[in-house]
Amino acid sequence: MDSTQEQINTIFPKVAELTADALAIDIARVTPTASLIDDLGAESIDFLDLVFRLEREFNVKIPHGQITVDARGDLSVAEFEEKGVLTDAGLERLKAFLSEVPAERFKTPMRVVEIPKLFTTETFCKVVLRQQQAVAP
Amino acid sequence: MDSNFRTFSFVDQIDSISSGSIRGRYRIPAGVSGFPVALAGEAVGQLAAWHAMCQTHFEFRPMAGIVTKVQLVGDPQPGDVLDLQAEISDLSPQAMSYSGRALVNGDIVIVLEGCVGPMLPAEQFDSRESLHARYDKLIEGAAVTGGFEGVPEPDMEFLTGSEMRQEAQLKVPQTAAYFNDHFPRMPVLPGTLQLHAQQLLVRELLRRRHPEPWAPREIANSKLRAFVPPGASLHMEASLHVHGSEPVVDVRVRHEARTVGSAQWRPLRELP
Repeated sequence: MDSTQEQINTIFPKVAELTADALAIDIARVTPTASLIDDLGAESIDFLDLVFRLEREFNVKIPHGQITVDARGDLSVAEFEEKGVLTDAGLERLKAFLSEVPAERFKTPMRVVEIPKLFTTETFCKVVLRQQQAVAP
Repeated sequence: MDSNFRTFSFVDQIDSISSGSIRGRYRIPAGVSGFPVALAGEAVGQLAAWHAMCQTHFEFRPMAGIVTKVQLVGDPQPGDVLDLQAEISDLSPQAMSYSGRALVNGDIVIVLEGCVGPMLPAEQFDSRESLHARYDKLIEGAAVTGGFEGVPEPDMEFLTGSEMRQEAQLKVPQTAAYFNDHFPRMPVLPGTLQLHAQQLLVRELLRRRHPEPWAPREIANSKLRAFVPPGASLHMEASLHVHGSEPVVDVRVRHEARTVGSAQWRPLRELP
């Protein structure tokens, strides 16, 4: 089930606060569309930190690579990417899944390892909500 | 043969291990001139690392990464026996998270909360066979111990400072005994020695600012971002902020253009 914008708006302030804490930056810089890597300077250790904080705050488990797995959905790995590069179908699926990311940020061709550069704070709001829904009775 | 595990290894014996916890001990050699409390944190981290390595059949090992909170409570002395405890809250091929503490004669000397260490291939740092053999000896209580001969005082030069800011240059030695053990295949500055240098920097800043004694004894959000090689020259900055009446010191450590470490120190007023 997709998250509603209302649900996202509800948890955004807390996710933004945790993002600012993890990156040691002013929370004013944490806007819904700011790329964590390109705009806020996040490194891989910061993603580890942010996920740890989100898991504790929202009592969810966010497995490594979960966003890409969720983005792929019912596409097979071969349908989603070929030799580390997204297929046309994979790229369209990713654009639809990361609807919060401005369209101009998607490259063509796009490599799988570049996907995290797209992530925004809203992306993490959505993964939290999906993980909450996944364990809801 | 466990000759690798001599100069910077701080677990002598593993007393118990279960899916979520591990207990062990370490005797600080009586002959060393000192033992920075940060090394008690190293001991707790190494104990947790043995748990993670065992669980992954020595394929991966955790590195120092994030510590949400550290309380530097006591000052362990040469000859003391550290009782080491760690609770593992999560372990995956990507990361382990844990909390832990070290005690001497039942008194806490350091508490680590919310530690997250990224897992990396163990073979990058040491041989799996060597790690496995050392672990077996730690479990059997048969490990060769007492090899720690102390660490050199950090080669720090305090640069221009003010009441609100202090900078320093930290020269990492090109050679040091601890590099043989940390790590045999990839020598890097132990993160806890960087934290020890941070503590000295914060102490210097507080000495300038406050006539009364404040001790840098609590750390929040410590993050080690990159490996620091032998011979590196690190630029350290400490900035003082006052929240209410409490001083807070933000520390950032850079190697060339990259931030390799950061932490927020929350000094405590020392009792007379």
